[in-house]
Amino acid sequence: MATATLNPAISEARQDTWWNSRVVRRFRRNGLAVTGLFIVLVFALTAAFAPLLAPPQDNCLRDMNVAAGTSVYNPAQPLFWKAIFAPPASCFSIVRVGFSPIPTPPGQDGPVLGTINGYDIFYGIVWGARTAFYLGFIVVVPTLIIGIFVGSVAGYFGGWVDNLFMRITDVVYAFPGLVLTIVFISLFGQGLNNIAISLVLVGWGAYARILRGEILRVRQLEFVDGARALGASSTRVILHHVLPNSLTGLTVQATLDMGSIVLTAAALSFLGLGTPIGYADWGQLINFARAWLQGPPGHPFMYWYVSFFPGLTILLFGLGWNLLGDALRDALDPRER
Amino acid sequence: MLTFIVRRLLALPLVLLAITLLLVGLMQFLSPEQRAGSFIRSENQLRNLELIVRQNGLDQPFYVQYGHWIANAVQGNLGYSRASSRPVLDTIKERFPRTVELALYASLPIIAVGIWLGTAAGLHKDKFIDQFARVLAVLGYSLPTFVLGIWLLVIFYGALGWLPGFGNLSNEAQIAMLTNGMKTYTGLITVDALLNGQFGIFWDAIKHLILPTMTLATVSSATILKVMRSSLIEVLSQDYVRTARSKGLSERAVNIKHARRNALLPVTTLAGFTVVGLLNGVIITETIFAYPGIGSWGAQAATILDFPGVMGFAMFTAFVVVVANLVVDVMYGVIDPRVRFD
Repeated sequence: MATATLNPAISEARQDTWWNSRVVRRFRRNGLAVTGLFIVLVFALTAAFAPLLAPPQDNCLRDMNVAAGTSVYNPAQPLFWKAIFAPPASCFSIVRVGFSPIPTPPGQDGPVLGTINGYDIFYGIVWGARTAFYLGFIVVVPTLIIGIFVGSVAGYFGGWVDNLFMRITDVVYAFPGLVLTIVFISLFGQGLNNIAISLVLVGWGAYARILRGEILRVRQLEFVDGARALGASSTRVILHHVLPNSLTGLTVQATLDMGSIVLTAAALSFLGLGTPIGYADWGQLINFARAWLQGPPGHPFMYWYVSFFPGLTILLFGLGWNLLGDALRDALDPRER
Repeated sequence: MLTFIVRRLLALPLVLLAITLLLVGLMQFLSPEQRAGSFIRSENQLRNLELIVRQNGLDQPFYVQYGHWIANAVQGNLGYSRASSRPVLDTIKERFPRTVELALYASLPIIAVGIWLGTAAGLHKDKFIDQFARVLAVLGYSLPTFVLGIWLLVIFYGALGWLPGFGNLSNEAQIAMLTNGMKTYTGLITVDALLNGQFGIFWDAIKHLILPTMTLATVSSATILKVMRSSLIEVLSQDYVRTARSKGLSERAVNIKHARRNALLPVTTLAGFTVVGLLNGVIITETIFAYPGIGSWGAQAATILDFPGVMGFAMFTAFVVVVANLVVDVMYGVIDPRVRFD
């Protein structure tokens, strides 16, 4: 036929690709979703290439056994790869240009976004992106694992296991999240890893509850009875049938938390309960800025940059993950909206 | 309905007991000497550390210590907070009204922006006001409290100098309060000032409340705005709204009486979460603005490892949340007759 110009095999293949699946299509057509993804990607690239954007100096170079002032930009040298993939801990200390606490404006004497307390703001923001992703992962991944385990056990078996779990989370839920986190941190001590442990301890209950609710819904569906009738074991029913169909809510929550956890950690740093002073961490930069709200007489707005750039970074990071999480919810769950 | 309330009221002490168990249990992570800190008020006592540990049974098993703790708590002794240089209970009594005052003023913009703008956005879906409201909402809950607070301070206190930046009263107003012999009726400074006819103090307190209120209200306003909008959009497609419209009611009557009242139901459930959000928010907001409420005390207690302070603060906020949730649940049953408690 003259009209049959379209090769049916091609059009079928196009329909089947991942790029054209319903979820991805709905996601692609959502402008806010693409914006969110773009923002998060920019932050991810910043984190990955931090040593190239804000080159290591002083102690950080020394700990990589090279002379001060060595350039890291040559991919042929091992230093390039070492700086990117395995920078020593001292690279996460913000480069200190001087010891005068008075802020210097963007561009003056080098630092492109200025300095505060002598710390290079740009360096803090760029390496702070690494801290942010690191923290996001070491909190969200363990929280997910614990949440999935407890949630599926409680949801699938019900009975006293479920009852015990719900009563425990009732008590945890009685505390506003930040309050309980502060209690844990004052007990464990400060520092990045203790913040992470505290956030996991506060967060797993929410994940488990979301999953439990979904499982209660899914396990009543007919295909689960079908699988059980065919002789599948409990483990198999949970892992292969119930769990994969219950993960939507959790995926969205984990995405939103990649942003919100970093914001909470930044808030803790702001309160002085976070990372050690001088660590590349956005909350700390804002905490420094508290002393410089007002410029000298006659120039009250002079130090605007010390709170503007770190604040904008935190706002964009939260915004990116929020847009991404909301879009994911819309794309994965057709009942929403 | 009544049995539900009675059952919840009976369960209340159990939850509160569990909260104290958790917190006292967590204290066991500390060494007995660290825990002895709650009994120490002078440097002299430091020399008798071991004696204090033994006298107060801090080296005893957990259940004995918990018994001690409960016995003390019943007598109103929750330990001594170094952060406020006062007993914990006195600190809470003194500071909680400040926080309540802040939260009450914060609820005005929350209701105005959340409900009013949410209604406008839902009624004019995809129009300009809706787009505007949605951008505002996503910015509102992406902008962390501490960044917003600092930015407001830089602009309105630092650059423009329109508003005071710190505390809840200026020195002059504090002196005026003492010299004029202001009587305390409610514990809320603005209300007491009005009742005493002290308009200067009232205005001073209001000026100190503007920036913290704006900071505290943002996140909750954004959440309520979002829920109000989507709830209204859903209600507008219901049959009873179409019926109301088809029987010739004015658009306004349909929107306000039929649609908005029903759309408000999920927002009411959110009220409990809003209380939690505000209590989270006061920790940061009060710290930024050096506002003397319980939040800034809790944060300071944590930074100087004042354990009785941290525990007292956590316990008190948890109690507030539990009671607030109970009130919300009951209220929900009153306003929505479809809800059955069983």
